[in-house]
Amino acid sequence: MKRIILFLLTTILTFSAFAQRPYGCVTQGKTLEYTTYDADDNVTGYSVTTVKSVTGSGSDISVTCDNQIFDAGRNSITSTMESTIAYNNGEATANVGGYSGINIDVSGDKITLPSRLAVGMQLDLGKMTVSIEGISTSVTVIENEVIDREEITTDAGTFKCYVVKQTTESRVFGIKGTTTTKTWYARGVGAVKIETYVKNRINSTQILTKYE
Amino acid sequence: MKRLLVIILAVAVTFVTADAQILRSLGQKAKKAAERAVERTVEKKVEEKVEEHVSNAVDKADKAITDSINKNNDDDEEEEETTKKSTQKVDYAAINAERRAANKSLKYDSWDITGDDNGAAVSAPSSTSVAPQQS
Repeated sequence: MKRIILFLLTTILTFSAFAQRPYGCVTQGKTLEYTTYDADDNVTGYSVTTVKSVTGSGSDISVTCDNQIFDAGRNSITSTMESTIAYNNGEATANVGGYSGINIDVSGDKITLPSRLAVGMQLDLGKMTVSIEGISTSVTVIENEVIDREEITTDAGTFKCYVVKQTTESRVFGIKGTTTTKTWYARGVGAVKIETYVKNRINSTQILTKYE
Repeated sequence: MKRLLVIILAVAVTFVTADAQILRSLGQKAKKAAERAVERTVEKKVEEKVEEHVSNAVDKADKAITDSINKNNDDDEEEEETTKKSTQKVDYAAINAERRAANKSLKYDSWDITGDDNGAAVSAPSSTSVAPQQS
């Protein structure tokens, strides 16, 4: 459940970066594989996103992706989830659909990443609600800023990235949690690296390890 | 003469005996009085100490209760504030408009390549080349 929510948030926020000229992948047939590590750098799983189709042009583009999550032994722990992202005049609307037999609904403010980035840029704040099978998680983005730029190298290549620091407050069953993420975005690719911090201590890291 | 001596001796013995009894009686009374005085002093001291301890304990209890009430009030106020914050509608549109306005003074650098999506990839393995943006 926690892993699904984390993946959904990553997916939503990454896809939301597609506004206008996207810091995200809109190339049909591309597969992005992320490897997830825990705080001790042990592999805990993988997530794979494949851009299934891209339709439209200019400021009106629709991207459909298949997403799947695997454990450390590369065994699938979810069925394939289809996501559709519609871009209309720079506004991205993500529909993360659902896994087979699991209904997922996302509503609330749209958190978009502008088509241009610069260090020091203040990005949008807002509140979203993610409902999985009727269990709602409210996620409020309380901090969102481009804090740095960095060239990083992973197994997938070397990328010039802008680093976005985002802090969210979530509430599930009335239990409040605060999570901070640092995401390295590369134009035309999307998230290359995502570090997740809980109580100012690194909790997990996702790295783009395949881009083909 | 002999009889007179006997009488005088008897009287003397009687007086001496009587004095001794009186003295013994007085001594016992004095001893009891002293014991009572000591008891009263001890009781008084004990009472004073007990009163002092009770007073201190009451003061501490009062302070603890006051602190607890104050803390509860603070917690209630904090909870009310949190509840208020969580229930009130935040105007993110206005907040974001201000944030975007503040960004207008920023300078974009060469890393923010607007016309070419694959500019971000400095180098990539041949099998993972970055495709140009679909337009």
